[in-house]
Amino acid sequence: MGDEMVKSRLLPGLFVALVLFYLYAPIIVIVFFSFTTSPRLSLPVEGLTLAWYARAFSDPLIPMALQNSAILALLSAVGGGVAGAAFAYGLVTLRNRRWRDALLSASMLPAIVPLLVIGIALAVFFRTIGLPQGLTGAAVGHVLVSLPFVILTMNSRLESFDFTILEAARDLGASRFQAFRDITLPLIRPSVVGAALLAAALSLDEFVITWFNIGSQQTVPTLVWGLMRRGIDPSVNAIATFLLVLLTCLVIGSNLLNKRNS
Amino acid sequence: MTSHAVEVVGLSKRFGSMTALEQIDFKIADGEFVSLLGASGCGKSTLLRIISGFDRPSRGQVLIYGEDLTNRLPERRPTNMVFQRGALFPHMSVRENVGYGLRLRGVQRAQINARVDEMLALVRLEALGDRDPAQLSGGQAQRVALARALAAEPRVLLLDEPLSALDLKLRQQMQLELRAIQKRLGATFVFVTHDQTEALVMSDRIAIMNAGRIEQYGTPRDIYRRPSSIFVSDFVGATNLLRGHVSGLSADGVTLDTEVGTLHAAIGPGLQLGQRVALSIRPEAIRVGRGAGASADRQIAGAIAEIVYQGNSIRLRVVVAGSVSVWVECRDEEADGLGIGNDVTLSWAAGAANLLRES
Repeated sequence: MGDEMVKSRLLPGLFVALVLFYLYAPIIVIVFFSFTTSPRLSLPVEGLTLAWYARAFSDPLIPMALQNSAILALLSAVGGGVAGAAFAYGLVTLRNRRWRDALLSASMLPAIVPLLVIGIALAVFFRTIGLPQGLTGAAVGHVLVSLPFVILTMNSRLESFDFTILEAARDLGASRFQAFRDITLPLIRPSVVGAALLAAALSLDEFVITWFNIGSQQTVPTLVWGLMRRGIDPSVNAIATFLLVLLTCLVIGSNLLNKRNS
Repeated sequence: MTSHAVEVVGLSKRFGSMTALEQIDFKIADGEFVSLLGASGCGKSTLLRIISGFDRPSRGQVLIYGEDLTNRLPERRPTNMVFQRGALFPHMSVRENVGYGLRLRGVQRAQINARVDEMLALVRLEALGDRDPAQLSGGQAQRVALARALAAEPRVLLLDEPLSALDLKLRQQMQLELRAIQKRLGATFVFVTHDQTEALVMSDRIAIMNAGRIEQYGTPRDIYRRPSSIFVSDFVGATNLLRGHVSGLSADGVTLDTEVGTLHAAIGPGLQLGQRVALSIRPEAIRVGRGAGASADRQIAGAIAEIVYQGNSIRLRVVVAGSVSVWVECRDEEADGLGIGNDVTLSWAAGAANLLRES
């Protein structure tokens, strides 16, 4: 009987392990080889080193790309976070359920439209209005693609928001503004910050839209793509690992903030 | 003329094509505890929200202590509300919740603290001031909500079914407590409920609402003993309705042709021959006699069809005239020896029956 129990659990366990391996093996390879001395991805490992990190950050292009990525991530976090939160707040206060669902669906569209289409459309649009390619256009694109995700997370948080407490505040003498400042804002702030971190994470590894709109500038993803064309260099692994750690921190932070608020 | 605490004049409210309130006129005296009683959808909550300022009437006025406040924002009205599920601010402690209204008015911190202490003592929660609302039980949360609403010294306190989420024992205890607090403060309370017992226990006066109108407005005793309509007699407490029409009018009373035979009742205003009426008799007002007696002015004969034991009392369903069920409520020992199928005679005092017109 015991054997059967073990066997019946073994297969599903094995399957889960396989899926996890499939998901994470490539990432583990990159992280691993960013620390090895060999210039090629080859085993056995001869030694461990941080030289690829040093080399990556001594390349003058990389700090510049990092700076651009940081600027775009910040703009996405602030722009996407504030606009998305405000939009989601407006949505849940709508009385008409049909309008609410329709607007929510409409705001999800950029997440479904292929990035290639959005990237080209933006490039054409910016050209039409005479905006030169560069960070500004890329930032607009980044905010655009982060909005659906911000709206979706904010919406699910706000659906459980109890609006009678705002009436209670008004009843006790608070103006609309005071009720927002004293009640709404403190209660939704963690969700807004969490959604903003998500927007930053999405911006950091955005490639397609950036590529079409940033012109001669570089972000970390476009730079790495450029480097890859010259052949795989372990310093690319180092940059990728660095980016991975940064993104993981942002996503974990975003989740923690959202969880604490619910 | 002394002004009333609340005066509602010609008030109507429409939501689209739906009429929520229709020509409401009523007054609440200073220091009165008034309940708005009705089934869900009767408009009682809408009326309370209009008094508090959260909804605006389509027509009519709301006066509070003589002042027309129909168009005033809720935050600028001298009313405070206790919400159905407390609606406490989850990110503030109990003390901060209670003091919030005073803080908005810019009251000094020391004064706020004193007032919060006073309010927490009033609702007997002195020890829980530093807790978060999430750490409170349902009854405690409602007490905090009450303390918060009273802290700002409203001229009229509005309560929107504040006890409906509590279990029966706690609800009964809170009813008496609320009533005691109201008496002690001498404040005017307007209490919305769908629970008739609650309304009877707590109120100085009850407004029975039905389909956007006030059906009857009076003391609990008036409402229970002298219901003005079939709806009221049926909604408040249990009653037997013996339906029929007026077959004779004389100086000493009315003769009725009913589904259980010819009955007699005291004369009422505006009755005409042939008018369709119902005689309302409370189950506890009916006496049970053993054996089938003759039918008389205020007496009918029937057979027991059902016996329901309720502990402190017994309910009997007596079938009269072959098909009409009449419920009788009596003390346990009064029903000793009675069994299903037994013939009984039901009778009642002249004052116990109410003659009501069918609409």
